[in-house]
Amino acid sequence: MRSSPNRLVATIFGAVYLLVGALGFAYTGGVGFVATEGGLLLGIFEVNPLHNIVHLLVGAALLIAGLSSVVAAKTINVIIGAVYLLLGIVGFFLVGTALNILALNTFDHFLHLASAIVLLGVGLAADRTLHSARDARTV
Amino acid sequence: MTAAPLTVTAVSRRSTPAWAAVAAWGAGLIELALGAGAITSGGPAWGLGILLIALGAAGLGWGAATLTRGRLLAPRVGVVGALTSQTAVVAALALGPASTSVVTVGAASVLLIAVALACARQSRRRTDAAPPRLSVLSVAALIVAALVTPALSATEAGLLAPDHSDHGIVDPGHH
Repeated sequence: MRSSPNRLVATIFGAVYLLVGALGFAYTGGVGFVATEGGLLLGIFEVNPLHNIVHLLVGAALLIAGLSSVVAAKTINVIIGAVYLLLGIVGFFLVGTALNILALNTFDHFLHLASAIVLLGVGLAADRTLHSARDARTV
Repeated sequence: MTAAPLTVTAVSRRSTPAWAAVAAWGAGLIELALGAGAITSGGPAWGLGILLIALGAAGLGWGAATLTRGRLLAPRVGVVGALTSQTAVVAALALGPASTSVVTVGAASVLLIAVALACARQSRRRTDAAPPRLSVLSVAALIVAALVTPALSATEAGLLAPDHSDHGIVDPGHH
């Protein structure tokens, strides 16, 4: 797994997002499921229960793909990276409106944008050929 | 198979496409936000908004293609695109100084100049295609996100976002 950047990144990001998703529930007691204002995880990242569930789903998808194969990790890195990149721009138009069902704030945008660049960048740039993918699966 | 040891120069050349691609993504996101703001505000900047959105989308596509190929694609076109984008961003500030933040324009300028310089350097010297180092990509992601997030916050869309101190809890269960 260590020879494939895609598997490494998917596994690490998956574990972190699972942890963040689980930890988020400690800060969202009494917060509405899709409330536009949530609790502050680590004092800065705003989350609501739906946001926590999305983190858990994203984390699970990344972790499973990272532990499975290079092709799965590369595919899921590109998909989640592209969605986060899109969220990076759309999110700013949602904040302050009733459509902000993930209770996004500026620090969330920073984290999503940084995640998007790493996931999409690794997904597009690393493990380009099937040969290298096959090699990595056998290691 | 063992990899050949990389010199500092080789690592630097190998990292250039990743830096430029990530910078192009950051600039593209800012251009999209500026363009959307110009369109939704109406007025004479509407046409400029369309141009900014087209340039921003092109920047995102160019960055993705550059990372996929592992080398800067069409570097001369990249220089022209970056300088055109720079002109459009400055024009947005000139046409709508009240709705366009200097922070946004400044961040976009830094990223666009970085892309233009990388493309200009590449057009004089061809480099081999190689995947970027994970550490380089991670550092680039953090720097670009740190530049782009406040820039997007300072756009018209971002300014609409209220602070925690000036609005109450919204209960979605009540209509």
